[in-house]
Amino acid sequence: MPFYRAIVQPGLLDLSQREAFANDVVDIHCGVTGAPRSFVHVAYAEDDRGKLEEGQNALVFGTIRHGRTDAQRKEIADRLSTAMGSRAGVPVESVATMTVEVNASYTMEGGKLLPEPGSPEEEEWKALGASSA
Amino acid sequence: MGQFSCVIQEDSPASRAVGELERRLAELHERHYPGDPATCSFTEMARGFMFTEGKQSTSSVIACVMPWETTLADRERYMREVCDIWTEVTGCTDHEVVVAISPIDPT
Repeated sequence: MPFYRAIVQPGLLDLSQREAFANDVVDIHCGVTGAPRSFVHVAYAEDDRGKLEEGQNALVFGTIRHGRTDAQRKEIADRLSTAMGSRAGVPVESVATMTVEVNASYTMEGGKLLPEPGSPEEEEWKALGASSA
Repeated sequence: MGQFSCVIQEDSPASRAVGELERRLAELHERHYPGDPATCSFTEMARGFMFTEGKQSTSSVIACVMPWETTLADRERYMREVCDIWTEVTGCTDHEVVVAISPIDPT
């Protein structure tokens, strides 16, 4: 956690583009939130079932811990849309990005419950993320 | 009814042990919630379609949907046991296992 899923038009991204955008997600999410880089997951699915709206090239959907500010969530969404548009070579307007927040205590990673953002336990968790990298 | 939705990596130890993982997860759920059945599904991510820290992922993500509220202690114990099953069966580390519980209102 965070877990970002990108639904893209079939063939929109090759392997190097997927890897590059996955690194963009790490840079953007961790740059905005300070979360450990080793906890950032990005999964891709090509839109074989027509889930994307007409004219839409990609939908990026992030599940993140509850407690981020509206400004942080907006910055993450805006920068991810820009990054996906740039990596894929498509208009940023054809990329939709959204985040949904979940309570940290409902997720375990690295064998420990995730801490709430800003809590004292978060520093220990960040050290765990750094040591596992 | 409990539901496990598992995202695993193609050609990984987890992908070669889905039967054992499904059996162990069902046993775990039955032990915690006797009489409540559990279903289990697996999605295999092709190589190059999932990344952790920007690199090819070796992680499994196990989402558990439970149609009732859980206490913090119950959640921690349950998720800890899911982690233990995963590391024991697949040989992966704790850090390669993400477990999440989603409460769904049964009404």
